[in-house]
Order: sequence, then C-alpha cells, then structure tokens
Amino acid sequence: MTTYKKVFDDLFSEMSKVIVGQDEVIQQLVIAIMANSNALLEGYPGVAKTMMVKTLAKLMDLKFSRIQNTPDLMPSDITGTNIIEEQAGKRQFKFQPGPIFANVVLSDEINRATPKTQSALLEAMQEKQVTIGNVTYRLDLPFFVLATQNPIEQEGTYPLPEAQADRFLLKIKVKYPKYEEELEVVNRYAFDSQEPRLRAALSRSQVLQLQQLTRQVPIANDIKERAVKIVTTTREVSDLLAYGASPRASIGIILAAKARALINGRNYVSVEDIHTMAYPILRHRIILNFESERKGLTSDDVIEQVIKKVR
Amino acid sequence: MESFSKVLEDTRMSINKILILDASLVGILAFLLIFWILSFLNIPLLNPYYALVPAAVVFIAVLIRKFRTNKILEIEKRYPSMDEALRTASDNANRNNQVVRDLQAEILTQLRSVEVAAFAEPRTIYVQTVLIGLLCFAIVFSAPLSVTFTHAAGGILDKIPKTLNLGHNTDSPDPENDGQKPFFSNMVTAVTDALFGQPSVAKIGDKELEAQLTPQGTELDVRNVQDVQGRDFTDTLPNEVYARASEAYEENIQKDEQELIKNYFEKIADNP
Repeated sequence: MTTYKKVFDDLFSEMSKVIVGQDEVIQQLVIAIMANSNALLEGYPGVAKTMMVKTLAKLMDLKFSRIQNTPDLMPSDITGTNIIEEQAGKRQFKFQPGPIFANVVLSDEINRATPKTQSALLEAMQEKQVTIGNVTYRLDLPFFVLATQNPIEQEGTYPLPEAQADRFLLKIKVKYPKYEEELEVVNRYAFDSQEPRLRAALSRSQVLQLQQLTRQVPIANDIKERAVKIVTTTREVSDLLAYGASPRASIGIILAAKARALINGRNYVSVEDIHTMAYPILRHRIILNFESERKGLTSDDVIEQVIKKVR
Repeated sequence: MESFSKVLEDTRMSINKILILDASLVGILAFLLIFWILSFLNIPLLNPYYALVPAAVVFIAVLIRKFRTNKILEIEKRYPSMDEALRTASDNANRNNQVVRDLQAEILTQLRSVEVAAFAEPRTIYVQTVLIGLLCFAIVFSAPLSVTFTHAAGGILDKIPKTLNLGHNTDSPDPENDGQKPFFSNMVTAVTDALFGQPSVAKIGDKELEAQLTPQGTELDVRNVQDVQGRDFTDTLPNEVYARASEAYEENIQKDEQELIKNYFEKIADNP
C-alpha cells in the first residue's frame, strides 16, 4: 500500500507545481478517475478548473481533449462524423473522430450546450462508446469526462436535468483560493511566463491497474451499511428534501470511498471516507424542498444533517 | 486466507475464556449475596442454598450478554491501530485479491501483539474479588450471631401461614381443618414459649437458673421437624404374662402395708 501511496503523493506533488492549493478538489478529481467515472466541476470562472484537468491528463500521460460547449454545438461536433474522402479517384466515407475520442475529455461549461448535445456526451460517458450511423466505435480506455459549469450567468444555459447529472459520480465544488494561496498564484504566474516542467507520475497502464485495484479495496459490512443508510435516509427526510438520491449514489459512495482509501494508502475503507465522499456524491443527486430553500439551506447543509442522523 | 481466519478464531476463543472468568466472578458474587440475604431472612422452606438458582441465572445471563458482544470491535477498542481494519479483514476473510491479502497480512502481524490480558478489566476483577472476600467473611461471621430479619420481613411472612399453616397467628383454629389447630401451631408456640417467654431465665424445680442460649449450642432446626409417626400398640397382653403374690413384701415393709399390697396382688390375680 505504501507503494501506491507514494505514486499518488508524487502525482499530487507534481500537481502542486501548477495548481496552488485546491488539494481537496484535486484529490476528488483523482478519485473520480480511480473509480472509472466522471466528475462535474462547479466553480466561478478563473479558479483553474480547466488547468487542473489539463494538468492531470498530462501527469497521467493520457490523451486530453477539450470541448467548449456553446448553444450551437452539434452532437457530431463531439462524437465525430463521416466525411467524404477521395482516394485514388474513388470517393468514400471516412470516419473523422470528434474530441470525445480521448482519454480525458474536458467539457467546458456543459450547461451551455443544448440538451441534444449534452445527451450525446452523456451517452458516450455512460456506455464508453459512440454510434455513428450503423457503426459503433469503442472509446479508448481509460475514459473520463470532466465537465465544468459555473454557478453564475445562468441566462441562456440548459441546466443538466437531474437524471443526466446523476451520471456524474461527483459534483466537485471549486472554491476561491485562500488569500495566501492567491498571493502564491500571483507570484507564480504574474512574473514568470515559463511553464513548470512536469513529469508523468502515472502511465496509462498504471491508471488502468489502479482502477482495478480500487474495486478490490475491501469494506467492512457495518461501514457499507452506513453508506447505504446515508443514501436511503435522503429519501426519508421529506421535511428537508423533495427528492432523495438514487441507488446509483450508494454504488458511487462506496466506490469513491474505496478510491479515497487507496489514495490515502489504506487497504480498507473507513467511516471517514464515507462521510467525506457523501458530499460530492450526493449534492447533485438531491433536490431541496421549498422549506429548505426558504431557510437558505444548501445541499451540503442537508447532507450534513443526514450524516448526523445516521451516526 | 486460512491462517488469518484461524488466528482470528483463536483470538476469539481466548477472549471468550476471559469472558467466562468474568461471568463466573459475577455469578459467585450473586450466589454469595443471595445466600447471605436468605440466611438473614431465614424464610421457612427457603434453604439458603437455593441461592444457587438465581446465581446460575445471573451467570448465564452475563455470559450470554458478554458472548454476544462483537469480539472484533472489542479488539479494535483496545488496539486502535486496528480500528476499522480488523473488522474489514474479518468481513472479507473469504475474498482473495491483492488488497485483501495485504490487509490480512498486516492484521496478522498486529494480531500477534494482542494480549488476552488486555480484555480482562483489572479494576472490575479487583472489585469483584474484594467483594467476594468480604461476603465470605460476612457469611462466616454472621452465622454464629444468628442475626435474622424474620421480624423485619414480618409483613411478608404473615401471608405465608395462610397457605402453609406455618409461623405466626397459628393458635386460632383453622376452619378448613375441622376447627383443629394446624399441626405446626403447637410446635411453634411451644418453641416460642420456651425460647422467647423469658429470655434468660429457666426454671428447674423451684430453682431459677440463669442460662444463656448461644447459637453455637443450638441444634434445633425447624426444617428438620417432621410429622409424628403414629405407632400401633396391641390391646391384649400375651398369655404368659400374669401376676401373683410375691414373697418380696416381707422385705422391710411395714406390717399394715404388707397386708395392703398382698390384697392388691390377690385382686389382680383373681381378675386378670
């Protein structure tokens, strides 16, 4: 386990050369990757969301692509399309892969794309394959979609429906850096234009191996039951929530907790893993009722109450 | 991992032994306490040795409660380094993958340092042992004193004679027994009169003697009193038994009295 911990420590150490602070966000991104799933990053513009994802892809030696979502973006702009190509005087269709054919796909401002385009992207991340015409193309593994959205400028956007949002394992909140961290950002990027030298901390095969290892991390029965209890309780607190989380959240919370344990060099899941991961797993899967909104409660406040209730 | 399961089972068994000892102490304590109380109360038909029954119940109850506790959690509580890890390894003992194997190997190393003595609570054992000692002394020292709380518990005992015909207020005739006094009433009254009538004075002939009854010398045990066994006697005497005038009246008997005795025997001989 110490070997794996060292691998992750190296990864985080390299990340810190580019990203100042945001340790929790970076850890949650890696958790999503280790759980072989996708993450939704929510944060104000300019908090290094894109840079984080890009750097992570570089450090894992994975193919990176970026989709800038706009209302006029078509599904084929993401998945790719068949184009007519002339070869030896003969015209034939040739598949031109879209940006989805990468290992790490950053879908920037996903809520600006139309539901049709969002749907194409979400299908790809769920099935890990795209179908164009009659042909199905399997996506290269590992495959992650890290989508971003910002909580402001909601005009002209298409917020992800709950069913679509449910497909993202985590909803990671990217907060503004602390004063000292922001000072460090300024020192690092306002004076020196040279990009820091990064070395890949993980290879593609290692990522795949670690993903397998994540699922092997054992969990005690009582801790597993606690995780499921947290999720089911969200369906019972009708005084706080209009809708609770789906069983997919139960799977997600266990998987994410396993990944967190592995990253921290532990070969078992702890209660702390479950509690920590409950927030990013559940916050986009629950819908507050009117009373909770009137009181000014946030999803995280409700999750905290649910965890306290289960304790 | 077979060895892991075996080590875990061995540890569980060792803990169980400590728990049996713990429960035994509680059982002994319960026995002595109830025995002591019963000796004090001196309730008829309730031998102090009946304290074994509730003591056995206490022992079994404590044992069941202790056996039901999760041993894994007990180990984790005493060895925080194994917190959550031990129960994870235990719950996943039948899984066989790299991470589980690593975890079990780590836990095995730590399990070797587990001392069974850690599960005995020295403070509790000390208190229990001291209490057992004190109760033993209390029983031994209180026995000769014959301290009894029978009267203190009179309220309860008053209800017993109605069904058992024992104890107080038994002088009155029992309507359910043809107006006869219950069998024990005479005995109890007699004992009561003799023992409690005049505490320190006994009369022999016309002389008053001062006597002190000590428990050491008292061998009367109400529990040993049994019903009187009836014995049949034959009404007729055997044939060879007869009476006749004896020559013995000549011995130092006055003349007029000799005549009286002679006549008496002659009458008997004539009217057998």
